[in-house]
Amino acid sequence: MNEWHGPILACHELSKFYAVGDGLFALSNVELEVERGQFVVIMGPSGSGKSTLLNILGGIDRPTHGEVLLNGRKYSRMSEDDLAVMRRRELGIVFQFFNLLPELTAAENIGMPMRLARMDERDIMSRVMHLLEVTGLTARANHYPVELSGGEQQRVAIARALAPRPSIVLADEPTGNLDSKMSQEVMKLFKRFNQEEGQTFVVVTHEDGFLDYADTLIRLSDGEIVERKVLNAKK
Amino acid sequence: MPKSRALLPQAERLRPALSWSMARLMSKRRLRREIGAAAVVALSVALTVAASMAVVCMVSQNGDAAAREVATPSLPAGAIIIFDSAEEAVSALEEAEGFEGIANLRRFPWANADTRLGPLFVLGALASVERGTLLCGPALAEEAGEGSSLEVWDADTGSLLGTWTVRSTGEYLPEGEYPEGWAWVSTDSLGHENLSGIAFDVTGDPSVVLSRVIKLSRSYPGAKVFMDGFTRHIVRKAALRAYLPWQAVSVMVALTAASAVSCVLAVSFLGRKRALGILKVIGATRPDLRRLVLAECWYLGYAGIPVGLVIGFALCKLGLSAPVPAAAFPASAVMGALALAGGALLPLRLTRNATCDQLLNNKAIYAFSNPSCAQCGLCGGF
Repeated sequence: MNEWHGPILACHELSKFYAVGDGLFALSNVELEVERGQFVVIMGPSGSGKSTLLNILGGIDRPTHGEVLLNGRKYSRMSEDDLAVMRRRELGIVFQFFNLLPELTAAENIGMPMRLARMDERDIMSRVMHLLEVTGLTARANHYPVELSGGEQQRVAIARALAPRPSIVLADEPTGNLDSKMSQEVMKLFKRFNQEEGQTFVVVTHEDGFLDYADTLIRLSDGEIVERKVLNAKK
Repeated sequence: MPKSRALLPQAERLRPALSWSMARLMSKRRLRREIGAAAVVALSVALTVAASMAVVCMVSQNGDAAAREVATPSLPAGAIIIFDSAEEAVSALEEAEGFEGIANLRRFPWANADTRLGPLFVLGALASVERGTLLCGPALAEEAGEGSSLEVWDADTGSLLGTWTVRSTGEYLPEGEYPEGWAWVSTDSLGHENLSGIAFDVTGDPSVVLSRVIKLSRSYPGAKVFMDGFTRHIVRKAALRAYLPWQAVSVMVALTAASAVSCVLAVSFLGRKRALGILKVIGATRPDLRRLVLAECWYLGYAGIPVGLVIGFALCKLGLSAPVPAAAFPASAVMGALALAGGALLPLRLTRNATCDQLLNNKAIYAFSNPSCAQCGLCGGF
């Protein structure tokens, strides 16, 4: 169905300028390419532009200059609705603070992106059941987010991001709000989906533990890529 | 580089992907969770509906009768008839067959006047005639005695209502020369044994005509008001003018309620910017968010409108002792719905203009999208 054979995600000459004070370049001429099935980890000190980059890659924010392409399609100048439609089909996003919909149960949260993508209700149910099982949340399916622990909420958020089988999952500090045990669980979950389902991941993190699973490490500093390291190349 | 293009056809993007059932489910749970804010909005809607019903009842009680009777074709007992000219009145009364059966003026002893002459007294008060003066035509004045005092008794209770002074209007004046608010009582009519109504030749300002008709209607609860031609036209215009203050009150009530609803809905919207941002992140488009806001309004109306109808009915019946016309129910419900719709305009506008970044990162949203404003961020926003 997808005939694009180039990098699944790419950005060229990406810059983001904030007109505050004397002006600040959060990102400066960032060049990035992510191949299908890759596990890319982006690291860097606070304020280095990691989250800004991820927000732009996810279509949440827009670059001041440069272009972002997903499956060869430019999207950094798309309308808000086109971006939303693209996210519902192509992108899964995991946040540090889970960002679950408080009025929906765990199962409904996971199913929501698929409902927005107008998938068949039977497919939605079977996918939700599968993801609940994989994430170990079957018993918590009908619980609301406030009734779940931080680790459980993050697992629901990951399952939600993976539910519509997106081309790529972007994660912004997914373990930043979890204790070490929960962080391990989340990392294992990412590894499992990357290795078993070939899911592409771009993870912004401070957690060194992710390096064990990553194919590529990108280190940012002051909005520029200062290190690009292949850790575990895949075919 | 490949060109950017829309992912879906325009029609597909405009069609919400969020089903009504899911939107309603989410709204219901959210309202239940934030029951305080929901109750305030529902109460605003209910009060709008109740106030609208009170207004409708007041309009109905005060002026609707006149306009309603304009189109009545027959001449039942107790009719009050308004003609464009004295000649028309006389000839119509002489020829009309409808003036039969009821003889409420048949027993017409001046010293024991039928209290239904009350309207004449009222009319006298309306015009530049002293209260307590009975205006009548020259023949009638001669019969009663010009300048004589008349004790007026209530025919039903037998109690003394007061003493009136009989005053003749003098010779009939040509049409258009009667003083403002003056009413001519046809002596021929009053002398008619089988008379069932009173004929007036009304001149002057249309609004005076209307107020006179309204007062006559009140004094003659069972009476019908008839008029023809030009009179009908001016009464209609006067009715419209008389309703304007009430319509203005209705609009003010609706606007006040709409602004109250708008404030609460906007605060509610701003309180869940993040949740709406999450929805956008996972693929909700503007039509989806709009549907969510509308579903919430639907629930608030569902709760507020019936409560408002009950409050309004109780207010009219117990507080104002006014009859509640059937039309008051749908009219008030529509007013409540309009207030709700008006109140939803701002949240809908904000929903339309909000970007994912603004919602998710709690940045200001602008009701009127102006890129330069959004850039500097110093000129307000929500």
